[in-house]
Amino acid sequence: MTDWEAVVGEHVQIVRRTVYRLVGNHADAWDCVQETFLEAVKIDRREPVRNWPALLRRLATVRALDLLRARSRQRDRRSTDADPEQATSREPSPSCQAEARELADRLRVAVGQLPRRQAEVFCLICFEQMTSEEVAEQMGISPTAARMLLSRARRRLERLLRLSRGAAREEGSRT
Amino acid sequence: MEDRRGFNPDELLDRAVDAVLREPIPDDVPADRVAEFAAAVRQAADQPSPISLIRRITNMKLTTRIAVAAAVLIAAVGLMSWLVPGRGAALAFVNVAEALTNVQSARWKTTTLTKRPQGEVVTDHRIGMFLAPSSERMETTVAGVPGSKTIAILEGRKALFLNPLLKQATVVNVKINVEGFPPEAGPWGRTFLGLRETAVAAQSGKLGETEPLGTRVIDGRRAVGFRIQHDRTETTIWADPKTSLPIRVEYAISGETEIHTVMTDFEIDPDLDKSLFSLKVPEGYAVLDTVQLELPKTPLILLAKTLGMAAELNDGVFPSALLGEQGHYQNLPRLGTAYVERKYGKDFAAYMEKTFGKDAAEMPEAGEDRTEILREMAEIRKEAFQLPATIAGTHALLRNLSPEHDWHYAGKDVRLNTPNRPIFWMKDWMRRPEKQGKYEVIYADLSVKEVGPEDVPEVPASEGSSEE
Repeated sequence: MTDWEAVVGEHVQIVRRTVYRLVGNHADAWDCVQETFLEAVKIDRREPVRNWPALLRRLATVRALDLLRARSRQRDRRSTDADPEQATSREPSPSCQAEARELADRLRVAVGQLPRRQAEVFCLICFEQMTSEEVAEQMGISPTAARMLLSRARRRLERLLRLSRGAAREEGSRT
Repeated sequence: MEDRRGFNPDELLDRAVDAVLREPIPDDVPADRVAEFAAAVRQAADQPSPISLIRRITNMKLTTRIAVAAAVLIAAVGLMSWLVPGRGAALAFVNVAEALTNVQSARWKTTTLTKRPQGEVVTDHRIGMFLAPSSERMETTVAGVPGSKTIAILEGRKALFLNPLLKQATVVNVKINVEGFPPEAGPWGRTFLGLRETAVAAQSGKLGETEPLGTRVIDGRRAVGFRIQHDRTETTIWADPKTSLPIRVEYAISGETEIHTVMTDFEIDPDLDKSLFSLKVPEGYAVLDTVQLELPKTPLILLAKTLGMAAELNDGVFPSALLGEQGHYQNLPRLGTAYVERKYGKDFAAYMEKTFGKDAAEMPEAGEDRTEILREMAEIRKEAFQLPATIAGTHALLRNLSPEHDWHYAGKDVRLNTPNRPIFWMKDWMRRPEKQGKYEVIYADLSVKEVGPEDVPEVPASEGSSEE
């Protein structure tokens, strides 16, 4: 019998940070946290969980990516791809931080455009700092496949970031 | 972190990742809110919510669902209707047989409600089409599952399953080893033909008890109804008294899992293009797999397999009975699920998702990984087709056991692989004259042999035509 109070108490902050890093605001992050634990309940019913932190970080990443992809689809519909501020809803910041923040937001937008598994592997390795072996175990794939997905994700992200930088500059020169 | 060791500030992507990681994250969630949330999670965990295999299947990626849906279709429209002769309901009005025999094409709708023991109800809708002499097309959609449409084109021993969304095709061929089976006949495309043969069986005098239901108006038309109770299946046919053609047909199977199927909206002899029934893979579709199914020469081999599966799930001991409330027959609907869960882990869908849920673009293009994945996919798909066929064949056999078969079950308390131990025997299932006096015997090692009258097992049977 799983002690859910203990599991939640021990891991909720990790899960929240994982999600927040990707979605960038409180309200969305908390929604994803709740969904993450409810998904964990279902999994725990089916099989014993051996590695709670790894499982929860993966589930949290998947939920957050779902949200990023939904935002990406909304942006597509509104045809405002080059507006990274729509990805998050934060106040402007001093210029040196603003540049980093703008870059981070562009990366979030780009991650939302990746194929599901590529995005998952990229986030777990690059943001959650899991090894490709850990990611492979969680996703039920081989470490080689995980590394391959990461490599494809990086190539595609580099291209998307370059494109979005060009679009942002173009937008800046018009205004 | 292995992939950030080589952080390069000149690389745009590395700088972007770094920017994300350096962003401040707001304060932790207050302890009282965490406690409140933890209590809610525990409450959710305490709720009983078993997830059935069918529900998991509907939640699968479409690439895997097609194979499983196809397998379920085998059980639904295939073996059940032909494996054992003399089955089925009879109609009290013999004109229906003649009317149905003259039908060249037909279209109808089918709705099936499956109610699981936990109360969960799964609904699927089909559009069925028939083209003489023996072609059938079924378009199936699972309610509430967008994009779940599958198309099955069925004829005799060949079937083609199509996933229109993914443009994928699965080809299934059946090799039939049944002795004396008509050379062209097969398990596929039996829905309309089965209805026709039921009527013919009525004419030939192989009638069960038929209860007249009188007259009723259905969809604005007067209809004459008959109900036939056969074991646990109740068949109700409402036919137009003028044309003798069906207006509505209902099948209700009672038991732990209740299945209720309704065929409605019959259109007789509509113009149906031959191309709708073509077994050729349509242009633009990729062939996901080609499956070769083999049906044994006697259904006792199927019974032996399912008894073996049941024993494996019961610490190696065969079921205590075949029929009755706790018998093997009653447990067949759950047997496949239990067996699959034992073999692939409790969460079959998760297993399938992990194993096959790879987007085509993300499959390794070459190398050992790809070969291994493809090999495993092929094996599982084969089993996904064979398992329901085995169970359906057993179901049909047990449902049709009659005193004339002089059948005996002696598997109670017997362990799997006990040497030279018969657990079931019966006369030829087709009652063929040339097999008169001979018995087929299933042994505890799951072998099946034919023996003469002098070698009929002498072990005491706990269940059978004349219970000892």
